[in-house]
Amino acid sequence: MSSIQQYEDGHIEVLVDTSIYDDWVIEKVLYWWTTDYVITRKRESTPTFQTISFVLKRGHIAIDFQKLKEKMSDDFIDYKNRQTIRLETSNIRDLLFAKAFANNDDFIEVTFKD
Amino acid sequence: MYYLLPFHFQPTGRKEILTNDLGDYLILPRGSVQRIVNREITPAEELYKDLLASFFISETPVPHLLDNMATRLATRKSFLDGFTALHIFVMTLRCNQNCIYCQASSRDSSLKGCDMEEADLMTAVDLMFRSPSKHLTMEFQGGEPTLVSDLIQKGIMYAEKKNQEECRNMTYVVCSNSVNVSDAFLDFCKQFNVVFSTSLDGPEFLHNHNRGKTDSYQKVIAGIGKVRAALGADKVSALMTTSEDSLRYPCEIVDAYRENGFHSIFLRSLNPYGLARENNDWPAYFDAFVEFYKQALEYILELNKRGEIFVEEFTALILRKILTPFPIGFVDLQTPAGIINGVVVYNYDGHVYASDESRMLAENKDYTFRLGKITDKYEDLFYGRKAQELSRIWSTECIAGCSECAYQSICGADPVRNYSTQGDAYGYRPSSSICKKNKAIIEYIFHLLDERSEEVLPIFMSWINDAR
Repeated sequence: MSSIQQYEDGHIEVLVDTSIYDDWVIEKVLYWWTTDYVITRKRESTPTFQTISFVLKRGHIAIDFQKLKEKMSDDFIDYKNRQTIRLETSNIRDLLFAKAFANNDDFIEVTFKD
Repeated sequence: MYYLLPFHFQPTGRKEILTNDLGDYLILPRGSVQRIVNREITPAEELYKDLLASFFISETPVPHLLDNMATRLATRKSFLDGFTALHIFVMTLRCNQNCIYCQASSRDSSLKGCDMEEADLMTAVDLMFRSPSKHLTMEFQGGEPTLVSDLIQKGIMYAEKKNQEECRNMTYVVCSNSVNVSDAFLDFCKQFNVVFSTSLDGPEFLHNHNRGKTDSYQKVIAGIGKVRAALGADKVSALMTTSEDSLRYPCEIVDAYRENGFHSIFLRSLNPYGLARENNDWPAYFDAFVEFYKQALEYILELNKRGEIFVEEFTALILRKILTPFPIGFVDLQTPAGIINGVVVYNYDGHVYASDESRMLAENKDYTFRLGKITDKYEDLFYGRKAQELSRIWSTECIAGCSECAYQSICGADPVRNYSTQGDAYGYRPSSSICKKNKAIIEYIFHLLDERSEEVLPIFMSWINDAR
């Protein structure tokens, strides 16, 4: 997340560089805020930037802005790490599940050379 | 240089809880995941060895122990091998108690048209034996199933006859309020090793209040005594339900169980079904329940430290998932979900439902989780369109909010509860009370294992090794 700002009417805008945080990360972060906020996303003139607006839903209690800022900052970093882990390990995970649920007879023992 | 292996993590305070699909976990200082991902952990560090040994990183692109890892994953999912093991038979909706929070929408004991037809019972037993599971549990529920004890006896006799050829390990459970169990039925139960599961909500004033009665407690305690005398002390277990009033009495409830000769308790929250659905503020209830749970667990830990072995069963289930490589048979904490895979319900109305909660919804004329008629073909019921639709959303590994959760292999998917509480079987985790509750409890248990290991681990190990 590049910047976060709260306006006088209470709505919050987050500027995100999608070359750092792609759609997968952004969607995962936003998912957990959708209970309390109406969230909209807008592309900026700078190609990789997006502005994300948070407007409090009617009847919901606003979260302290400082807390929100800290939590969202952590969320972006954590989901970025989750994405790295996911992308780097997806083949191994597929292999693991395929082996785990294959019939035992189909197991092939692999000999490794160190 | 090392390679990452699949894992999840959850920040909690100044720590991060790392878990993987194999059941390993590590609790590390906040920021450790960033260091791991950035390849900043050096082989000289103790953490490097821990990460390697717990399958969070590998020194080769494909881990040498991949087959070993696959075996461990298969073991954790081995509950799927037997498919449906728990078969619930709702014999009648009639009840002689009609408690105010009844989750099963029980009816007056004199009402007609609420009992299972004998022909349906026999057909349901036939369906049960189509399940490939080596272990079959035939659980009789209601209403109050002992109101039709003759029908239960016929069901068990028929199952026994079929089992002479099938040779399965049979368990028979009668879920009864124990208020009016006849001697003749108890003689029958003794013959076939039937166990009783009953309800006890805590001390007399609370139990009676929850049930809207003045004498329910005395009757239940007398009933438990009678069943114990006939079948043996270990043949009766009790379940409590935490009503809103119960939340103020964690220690008193535990003491009521101890005073009545029980050595364990299952701290169970209310389920939003049946009459209990009328509760007005579920998020507040579940927040209060977590506090109630922590207070009761602390008290139970104190008892254990004083030398009394007393188990909190929900904690023990979660601990088995955290500390052992094996799966548990508890259908609420399974992924893929317990519905159909672990449990199925043959209802008094002649239909088959995906779970106990599914038939409770049906009492409100909601048949979303009705799989078909008892007279339908096994394949159509267990592998039919409804089962296929549910299978798309019954794994925490695949659904939004759960797929990145560090507790996905400890917790479980529950489309029926999602539907019941949120109107959508897929569910929406940010506002899910059960997600919040389970996360809070699992996190608390991890916190105990991390911060108070020396104190709690011997107790926890005795619980999961069943030292009772």
